[in-house]
This record gives sequence, C-alpha cells and structure tokens, in this order.
Amino acid sequence: MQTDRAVIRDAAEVLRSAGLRASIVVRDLGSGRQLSIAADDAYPLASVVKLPLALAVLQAIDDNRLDPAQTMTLRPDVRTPGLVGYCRFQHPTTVAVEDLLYMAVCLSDDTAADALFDLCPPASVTASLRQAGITGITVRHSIRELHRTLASVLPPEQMPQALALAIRASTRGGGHLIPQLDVSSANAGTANACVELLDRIWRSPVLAPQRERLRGLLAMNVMRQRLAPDLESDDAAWHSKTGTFLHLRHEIGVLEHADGRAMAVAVLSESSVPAQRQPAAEQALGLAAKLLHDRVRSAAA
Amino acid sequence: MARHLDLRAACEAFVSVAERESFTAGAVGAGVTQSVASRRIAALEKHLGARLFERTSRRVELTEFGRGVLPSAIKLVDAALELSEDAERSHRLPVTLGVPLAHDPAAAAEIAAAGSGRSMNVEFVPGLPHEREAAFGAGRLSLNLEPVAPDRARWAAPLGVGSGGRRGPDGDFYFTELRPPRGIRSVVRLWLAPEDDVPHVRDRLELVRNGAGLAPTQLRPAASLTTAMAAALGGDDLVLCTGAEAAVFGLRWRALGDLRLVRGYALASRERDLASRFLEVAGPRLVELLQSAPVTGISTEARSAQGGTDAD
Repeated sequence: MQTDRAVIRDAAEVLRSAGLRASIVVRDLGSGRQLSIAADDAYPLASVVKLPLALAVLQAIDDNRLDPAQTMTLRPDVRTPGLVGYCRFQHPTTVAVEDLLYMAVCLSDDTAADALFDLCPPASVTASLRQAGITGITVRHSIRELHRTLASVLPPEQMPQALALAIRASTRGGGHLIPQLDVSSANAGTANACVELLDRIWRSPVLAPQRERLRGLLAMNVMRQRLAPDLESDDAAWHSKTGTFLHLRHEIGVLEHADGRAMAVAVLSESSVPAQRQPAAEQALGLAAKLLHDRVRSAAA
Repeated sequence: MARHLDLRAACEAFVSVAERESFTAGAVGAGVTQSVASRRIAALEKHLGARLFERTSRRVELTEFGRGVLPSAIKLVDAALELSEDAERSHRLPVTLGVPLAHDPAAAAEIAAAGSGRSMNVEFVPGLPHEREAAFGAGRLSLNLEPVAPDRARWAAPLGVGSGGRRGPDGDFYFTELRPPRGIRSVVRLWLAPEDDVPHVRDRLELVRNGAGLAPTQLRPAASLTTAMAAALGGDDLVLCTGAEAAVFGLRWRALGDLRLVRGYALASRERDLASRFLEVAGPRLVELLQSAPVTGISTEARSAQGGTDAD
C-alpha cells in the first residue's frame, strides 16, 4: 500500500535528482487535508509577490482609496527590465490601474507591477496580508529592487557566472550575500503561507469581495510552462502565479476540478544548477507537485 | 698521506688498535698490515697535534689525549659505516610509479623487465587519480602518471560514450539525446569512471549537461570502472570511456559531438633526471600501458620542466 510517507519520499527524490531545494504544499480546500515537503522554509518570492500586491490594490479600490479607471502614463525611460510587456514598449503608454493588474498578474509584467507598487507601497501590501491573517509572507520592496542584483549589471553572456554566484552565496539559515535573495531582507514567504493565502482568497469571507477578480486574474496566467502541463486539463482549471528569478522557480495556484474539488498548490524552489533554462527542473517540479496532489485527492475521497 | 689525510681510514686504525691495546691485533681488526696501521695512526697524531698512544715495551696504552678523542673517533667510524650502508640501500630502492587502476598489466611487466636489465627496479602502484596525487605529494611515489588537461598531455586517448545496447543512432553522441521527454520518468545517465572524475573533464561535462537542459543526476561519478561499465551493460545507461575500454567491455562506442574530451596523462617526477631515465627504459611501452596514443607537438624540454615542478 502506498503511504503518505512513501509519496513524499518519492517526490523528494524527484526534486533532489533535478538539483532542487524545494518546498511543496498541497491542500484540499474542501477537507483541509494537506501534504507537504519543507512547508515552512522561507524563499525570496520573486514575481509570486504580485498576487499579494493585486490583493492589496483590489482592496484599495474597494475602499475607494484608488480609482480603477485612473490612468497612468508609463514612459519608455522608466521601465523595469523583463522579458515581456511594457519593458518592450518603445513609446509612452497610457494605462488604467485595473488594467495594470491584468498585466502584472497574467503576464507577470514587472513595469506594471512597479507602477502598482508606486500606488500601493510594499508596507501596505504587507499590512493587507497581516489583516487577512497571513504572517508567513512579508513584502519589503518593489520589483525593480530585484534587478539591482549582480545579475542585472552583468552582460547576458556572463549569466552562468551570476547564477553560480547566486547559488553559492547562500549563507546559513536562509541568509544570502545578495540582499534581494536574503529572506530576512527580501520579499519572502513560505509555501505554507502561500497556500494559506490561496485558501483565504478562495474561502475566507474577509476576502470575498476580491475573490472573483483575483480568481479570474490567476486563471488568465499566460506562464504555463511549469506546473500547468502536469496539472491542467479541460476538467481541471489551473489558476496560478509563477515566480522566476536567477536560480528561483516558484508557482502557486489552485486547481479546480470539474467535480467541484479545489486543491491549493504551492511550489517554491531554488536550484543548485547554474543554468538559466532547466527543462529538467521544470519537469521535476511539475511531477513532484502532481505526486502530492494525486495523493491528497485520492486519499481524502 | 699527511697532506691528504684519509680521516675515516685513520680513525678506523686508531679505534681498532685502541680497542685491542695492540698494534698487531688492531691492524688485523682494521684489515690492514701493521705498518699501514702505524703510519695512519702517526698521520692522525700529526693531524690532531698530539700523541694518541704511549708505546711501552709490552703493551700499547692510550694517552690522556687519546682517551679524550676516542669517543668522537668511534662516532666517525660508525657514521661512515651508516653512510655506505644507506648508499647501498638507496641504490636498491625501487622507482615507484603511480598508474591508473585500469592499465595494461602486460605492458607493465615488460617495462619492469626492461628496468631490471638496467639496474632500475620499477614498482607499479595503481590508484585513483586523487590517491596517486596524494601519494606523489607525500613522497611515497617517485613518479606519477597524472591526469592532465589536453594541452599538457604527453599521452592521450579520446573519450566517447559506451553503451550496452545495439540499437540507437550511430555517429557522434550529443547530450540532448539524454533529455527525458515530457511525461517519461526514467532517465538515462552518463557514468563517469573514477579515472575521468577530474576537474578538466568533469567541469566541462557539467557545463554541457547544464547547457543541454539535463538534470544534475544524469551525470554520475561511479565508485569504480566496473560499476560504471555494469550500468552500461545492464541497462540503458552510458559510460564515458575510451574506444579501447569499450572494446574490452564489449560496448558500442561513439565519439562526443558537443565537445572533444581526451583522457590525457603527463609524467610527474620528483627529479627531472629520474623521469628521463625512466622514459628511456619504458619507451613506447608506456603507450600500451595507458592504452592511449602519444601526443605530438610537445617538446621534451617543456615536459620535463613540468614534470619536475608538478607537486601541485
């Protein structure tokens, strides 16, 4: 017979052989049953932080502190570096606050996220988390702070060195020589706290006013290379937010099955391999999450 | 004689006569005639500037001065004896050579035979690269065949991958072949024998592994060559090896496509003189010993200079 322990050991082996240190929490949002690996390890959150940001912005809108239709002009000279979105725009762009949410959450647009951070600073994002009862996630800085790390000052051909340095500069107890990667001074959180946040968004009456809009944003996430291939189908809708930076690979989300069951999944990881694109790591994260998910789903039935 | 005093011979005569209290018996003890013994002792007395013996009619007696210098003379005789013993032992000492565990024993025997014909007693000490390095550094090996990067190698054999199966593509091997397709959990590994688990091979392989998007575990160091070969023979795994090794173990061998890797060796020596004497004795048999080919284009001078300073 397959036991929880055996499943967890199997998943841990999958992660280990891909060179990953990872935390995974899978929770059945109906029964509350949960399986986890290293649930309380803290990681720098990278773009996962855009979910609490979106929550705080929506709350500000609902409290009439922010106007969703308020427009902002994004100038080409104040872009936050990134892969997609406004950082690629070559001309000034005018956009409304509510649309910035779509860009920040669904495309993980860093320029859009920083424009929102200007309206809703990190301290008030943390405050809204605390109000919702989440203590395991702390937001301390905007996205552009991340790009002040050595990775951004090095030319692209030296990226492997930046990765190797990021991996080796980890100090004991979650510390890091790069402040943006040090969980005591970065945007940091645990897999447990991420699942707790998803749980509150899906079920807590306190966050009910923002629920449908957040759920809609997460459903439209275009980053589907990490956990989505192993989880989603026509009968299983995947709502998620990813986070990727240097050696960090995260994804948190909720899988809604056609039978009405909803499973919250949080995967936070850091790699020990100095390579930017690691298909093996992405696959391992997907497989390990699926192993835990399948176990939680079947055992609670 | 007095001008070029043989201190050792003179002291031997002095000590021998003093011990036996007789010139006749003392000379016999020192293995010389009585007149030679007398002459040597006289020369020593002249050298030291005082008489050593009172020569009475019946017996020979040490003077006060003679008694004073006798212990030092004994020490000198003993030290001279030790010196010649040590020299003799050193002549008989074997030349210890660190060799890879996987070497051709027949070639080793031939080299040893050629050495004994030229008063060089060669002893082969097989070991892992780091063991040989440590033994050489500590002085337990006088010569070491050390794994080196291709640009320093005197002997080299190209490395490729050996596989047990008869199926699969021929031609050059590319690392992306090992990339597991989505949804398939089993992974094919490339095993690294201990002899190739050295920075100039392993680090370059890791770079290519990372670049090809493979998982870290897909490149695995094996505890022994046998373990590595068994993984290839018993499963779908591959092993990094030379063409000669693949032939011995009955594996299919393919050259590397992503990068050129060689298993290269240089001869490290504590003394430059010893290295060249050994190379003279071993000659072309070293190629067979290492199952590789000589690298051309490296001058002998450059090699021996490296060999002499290679304790790093």
